[in-house]
Parts: sequence; C-alpha cells; structure tokens
Amino acid sequence: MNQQVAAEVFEDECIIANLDSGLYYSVQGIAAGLIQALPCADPDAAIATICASLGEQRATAIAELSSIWQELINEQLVVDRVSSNAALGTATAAKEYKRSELNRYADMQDLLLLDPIHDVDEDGWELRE
Amino acid sequence: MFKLGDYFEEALALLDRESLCYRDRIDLGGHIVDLATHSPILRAQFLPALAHLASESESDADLTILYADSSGTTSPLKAPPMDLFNGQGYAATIDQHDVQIFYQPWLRQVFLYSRLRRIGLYWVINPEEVPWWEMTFSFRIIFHWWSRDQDLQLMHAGAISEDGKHGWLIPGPSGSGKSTSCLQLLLSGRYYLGDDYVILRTKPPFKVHSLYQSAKINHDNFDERFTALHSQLRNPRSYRDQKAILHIGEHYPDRLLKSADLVGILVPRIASPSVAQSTVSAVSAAQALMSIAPTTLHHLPHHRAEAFSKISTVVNAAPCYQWLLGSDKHLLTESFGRVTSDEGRKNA
Repeated sequence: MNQQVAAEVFEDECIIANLDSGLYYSVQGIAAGLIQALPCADPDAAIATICASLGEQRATAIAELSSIWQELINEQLVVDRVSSNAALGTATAAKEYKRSELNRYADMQDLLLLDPIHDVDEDGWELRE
Repeated sequence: MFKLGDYFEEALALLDRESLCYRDRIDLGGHIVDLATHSPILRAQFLPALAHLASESESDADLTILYADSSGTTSPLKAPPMDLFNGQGYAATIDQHDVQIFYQPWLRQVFLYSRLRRIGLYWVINPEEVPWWEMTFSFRIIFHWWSRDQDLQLMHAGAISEDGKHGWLIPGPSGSGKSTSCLQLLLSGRYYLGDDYVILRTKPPFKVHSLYQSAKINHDNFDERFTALHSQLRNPRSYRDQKAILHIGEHYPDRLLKSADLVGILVPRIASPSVAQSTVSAVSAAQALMSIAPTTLHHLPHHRAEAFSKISTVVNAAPCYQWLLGSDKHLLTESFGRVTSDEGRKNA
C-alpha cells in the first residue's frame, strides 16, 4: 500500500483513505480479503487463494478481483512492487462469493493548490489593500 | 533554507519578551490546558468558546497555548515562506515530526506546536483580522496536534446526552444537520456537549468531552427554526454574513455537559422536505467511518494516519446508526429519545 494511504478492514468491507488527496474508497465483497493480503508480492497467487473455494463462481471472482487490483494500482493506492524486507500479508480463502466493488468518493477531496500571492510586506505577510 | 524548529524558537523567544499577563486555565476531560496572551482583545475573542471549561486546578499543565498579535508586541513575527504551503495550510516538504505548522497566507495568522514541549503558539498580524470562525473553535488545530500523543481525537461532530451521563456522537460535514439537531435536542431538554467539534477518548472507557460551547447555525436555518433565540445571539448584527452563534453555557448552564460516556454514533442526514418523520436505522462500522473520517480530517492535514486509526477504533467499538432527519422538530427529538432508550435497554 502506498505510504500516504490508510485502510481499515471490516467484516466484508474495507475503507481506504488517500490521506494526501482526501479521496476515499470503499471496497466491498470478497475484495476486502485482497486488502487484508497486503503487502502482497504475488497478487495473482493471492487472488487464486481467495477464490479457491468458490466453485462455479471462482472464475467470475478471479476476474473481479483482478480488475479491482488494477484499479487499486491505477488509483495509486497500492504499489505493484513490494520491498524485499516488507512483512507480507496473508491471503485466506473466501467462504462464499460476495460481489466485489470499488467505490470512489471525492466529496472531501482536498484543494491542494495555493493561488500564488506575490505582494507581501517586509516581514513576508500578504499585503492587504 | 527554512527550518521549522528555528522558526518555532524565534516565535517563542518573541513571546517570552512580552508580558503574557492574561492567563487562563481550562480542564479538558481531565487534561489541564494553560492559555496566556498579552492581548485583552485576543483573549476576549478566543476565550469565550472555552470559558465553560475554566479550571482552578493546581496540577501541572498538559498543554500550554501562547497567543499574540503583531500590533501589540514589541517585535513582530516574520511570516514563514508562503511557497512551502498548500491550500490546506500544510507544508509537505518540511520536517514536521516535532514542530508542526499551519499557515494559510491569506489569513495572516500562523499556528505552531512543539510535541516535545507540548506548547502551542498562535500569532496573528492584527486582532481585528481574526476570522470569525476561529473564535468559535479556538485553537482547533493546536488541540488536534496535541491529541496525537494522547488517547484523544478531535472530531468534527456534535454530541448530546439524554441523561447527563451517556453521550451520543453526531458527526457530519456542514449541512448534514448536526448543528440543527443538537440545538433542537438541547431545547427539548437534553444535555449539550458540542455541535461542531468535540474531543473523543479513543480507548476504553470511550468518552466524549465538550470542547467548545459555541453553537453555529446557518443563518437561513436559524431564521426558519430558531428565531425565538434571537436575543441569545452573540452576533445579532452580523449573523447573516457569518453563521448564527450562541454560547450555550451563557443561557443553558445546567444543560451544558463537560464529559459523557460514549454510547453510540448517530450519523445525521437531512430527509426530503416532504418527510416529517425522523427515523433511525443501524449502519455498519464501515459506513460510519465513511461519514466521520473524511469530514474530520478534511480541515486537519497533519498526522491523518493516526487520526484515521483512532476514528476506526471508535466506530468499531460503538453502535452506529443513520439518523434520517425529518422536518417535524418534535418527531426529531422523539426519534432521539427512542434510540437512546433502546440502546439503554440493551446495555442494562
């Protein structure tokens, strides 16, 4: 997981926060198990483990988790390379299939840019007209 | 190159030269906080929101806040380099492990805090420039910085108690209905701990502590629902340009509570105007976290990871409900009574 990201995993839902940008995400269904498996050196193996006991829905679940893993990378929530000294997470087999979703919430996205202000007094404070 | 530690020492040295003769002490959930300034004007601006917590304790202070303005001091503080800061008042490129800084250049005020010394500093160019909202949540960012090393977390939430002992957290962003519902519940005889920011104890026993006695209501909402309170307004001439501000302890001293045991979280949401009834339904801890963390952390750019973790602990421990707020104020207060008595029976 990226350094500026925090996650809290609940029973079958996970909340992920990008603490720099103010973007929040919820991960639902068996994909919450993917977050629990972080840091993850081999995501394909972790996905295979999570989906191992899902019978007929195994292929659907693998496709969903693979897609969500890619979204997590695209959103810069996880990195696809794990440092060699990181303590790896453990993937566990999901007991039943629950559809996976990644939702993105931007309502509290931080306004990070500052308008340039050039007129300052001798002590560096912005000048008031 | 700007060194934050040196800047803090410079500001502290400037304050040491002044006679900080206006000294006050408050008790924040058993933590003693000392406040000192040279300025009777600044004191009159910042202290009233905290006045209900006044303490005569002789214990050592857990936090000291020194505050000043350039117009009343012999040597003014220089501004930090503004190009280091983003729109959140945060500077990511300077080490803020010990000393933290919060600076939004257009407001011409700066906040500083040393974790090692547990000293917070506030400096404004001119007391007449203190933004009105800063006076309603005095030294908010300093309390947030200080709470990092305590079992405490500043929360963007109100809090109300049915019985004066058990408190309900009512979190949410501006416009979610938390201030309206807190004031409505106060007027129906409940106990008030805050309507905008409160402090939570984030380890068992979980508690909610009052921080500010200043209730803030959007002016149109005030005119629609609370006109009977017009004589209690702190800002009767300017509330339509700001928010309607009332200091609860001045008018309802017996209903202003300093601390309560946290029993649950009610996440308010305003229902469609055609809906009169208010309803309460259980929500998951994950949903509650999504309602609480973003709005709390949005204005507090420092040590967000620790704050996120503390908030997660609380939503995992407390029952969480969504409170859909209907338009009928009597039904609204009744719905609060129902959920508190239901939860009380479960805990009995």
